[in-house]
Amino acid sequence: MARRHIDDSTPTNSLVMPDYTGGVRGYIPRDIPYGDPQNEAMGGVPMGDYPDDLIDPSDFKEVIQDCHDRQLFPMYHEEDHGMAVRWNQNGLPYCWAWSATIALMNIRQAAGKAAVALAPTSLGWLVNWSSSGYYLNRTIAGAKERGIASTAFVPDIHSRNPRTFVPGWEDDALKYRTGEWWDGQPGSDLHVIRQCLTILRTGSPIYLAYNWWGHALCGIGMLFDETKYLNVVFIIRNSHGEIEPIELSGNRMVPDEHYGLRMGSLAG
Amino acid sequence: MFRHPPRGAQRSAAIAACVFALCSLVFCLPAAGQDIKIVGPTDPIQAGEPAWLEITGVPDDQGAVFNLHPLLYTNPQHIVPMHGLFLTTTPGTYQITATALIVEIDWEKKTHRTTLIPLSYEVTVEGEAPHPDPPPPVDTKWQVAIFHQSDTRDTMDADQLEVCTGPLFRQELAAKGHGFVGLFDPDERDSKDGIPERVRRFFDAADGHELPVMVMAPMNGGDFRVVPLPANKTEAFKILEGK
Repeated sequence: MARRHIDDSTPTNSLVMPDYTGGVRGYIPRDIPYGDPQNEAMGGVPMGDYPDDLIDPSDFKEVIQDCHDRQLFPMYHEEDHGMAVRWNQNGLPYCWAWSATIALMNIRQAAGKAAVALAPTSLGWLVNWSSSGYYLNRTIAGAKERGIASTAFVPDIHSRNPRTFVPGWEDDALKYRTGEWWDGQPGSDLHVIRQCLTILRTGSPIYLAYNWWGHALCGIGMLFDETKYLNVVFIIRNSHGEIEPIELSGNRMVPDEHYGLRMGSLAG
Repeated sequence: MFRHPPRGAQRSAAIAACVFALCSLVFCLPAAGQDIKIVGPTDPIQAGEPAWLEITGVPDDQGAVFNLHPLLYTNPQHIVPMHGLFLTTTPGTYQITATALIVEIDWEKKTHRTTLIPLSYEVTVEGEAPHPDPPPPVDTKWQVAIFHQSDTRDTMDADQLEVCTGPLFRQELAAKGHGFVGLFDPDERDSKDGIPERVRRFFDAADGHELPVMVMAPMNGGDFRVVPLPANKTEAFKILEGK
């Protein structure tokens, strides 16, 4: 599998796509801190409430191998629905929407629901249809409230103009909503990676973001590699038109925010 | 010499008499729920034998109803109020409950007091347990749905996770002619969605069971089966294949 591999020695500038340099950050760090009851009101279950359930680092090798052998990681669900190839925000600073959307499509596949292509720009109401970045936790809450419309109702998935959407798109979006989610606890790099592997093992994708990149993405798997930081490589679906997921290692792979989507809504 | 009291005094005496009578009526009522009870057969009944139950002792202007019980028939189209027909073929002890509603009015103080009285009655059914339904044919093809609490999915071992979310289990299901309906969390039910018709009966079947469970419905129609989530996919296929 030919994946783009990024490690600590990769210059940050080379990661920023040419069409993504307009000075607009797609990812805005959370304004509601972890542990705030507002997150729970939005459906977030604090991951730190269950520290004993996190995978022990001494088990990383065995667990990661097992997740590949049994195809438990979301990357296998993504392969099954086949709609992540060339996933592309196409210059819009909507990484927060693209990554949330592919995460929802992945968890729907994990739950055995029909594969339906969803349109990230239907979340544009969160930023009043402007060319803006947004918060990840508020995006999940927005997708939980109003959902994400299918591409059948958004013919041009890069259009931020809801007048180009097919009438009825808002009702259609209600069928494709996020459910409850794990709210990742900030902490040491190892603590965050333990949470991420624990979530990924359940088949749940991770909606994550990097401050250093100003970018939101979707975590879909891990590799074990003893030559790498914390012995792991993070497999991540980017939204810059790649065919394969990217691989991140080194301390850059540790997300500044991470959320695990547990379920999608029943309808759809 | 006896003299009639003045007219005003007569009126006062009449009013006082009326008030006394009303007060007597109120205070003469039995204490709320004193004699209200469920009456039914005093001895154990045989399996399959119908038993009539009745709520007695309820004043004419008050009411009582049997609470919902799957073995008690109280349809008002066929059965008069405060009566019920109990029928089962399964021996055991069953608790039937009812609620009486007593409203006491104090006309003098212009107040009322409402009392809900819980009633309970035990029916004992004796006899032989019915023979279990014959197992479905071993070549039955099933639709399979998994119900779990998604916030506990991180505590499952890999073998059970494979049954819940693993594509390999679903591929094997399909290869053997079964179908995967989906992985569900009952908490997904909410006012916006309701339950889609295609999975409603699976939700009904899973209701009341301790999660996680595997719900199975024969492809060609028939009774649903609900079993605890198998420990691994090998166990799951043993159940599906009736082994």
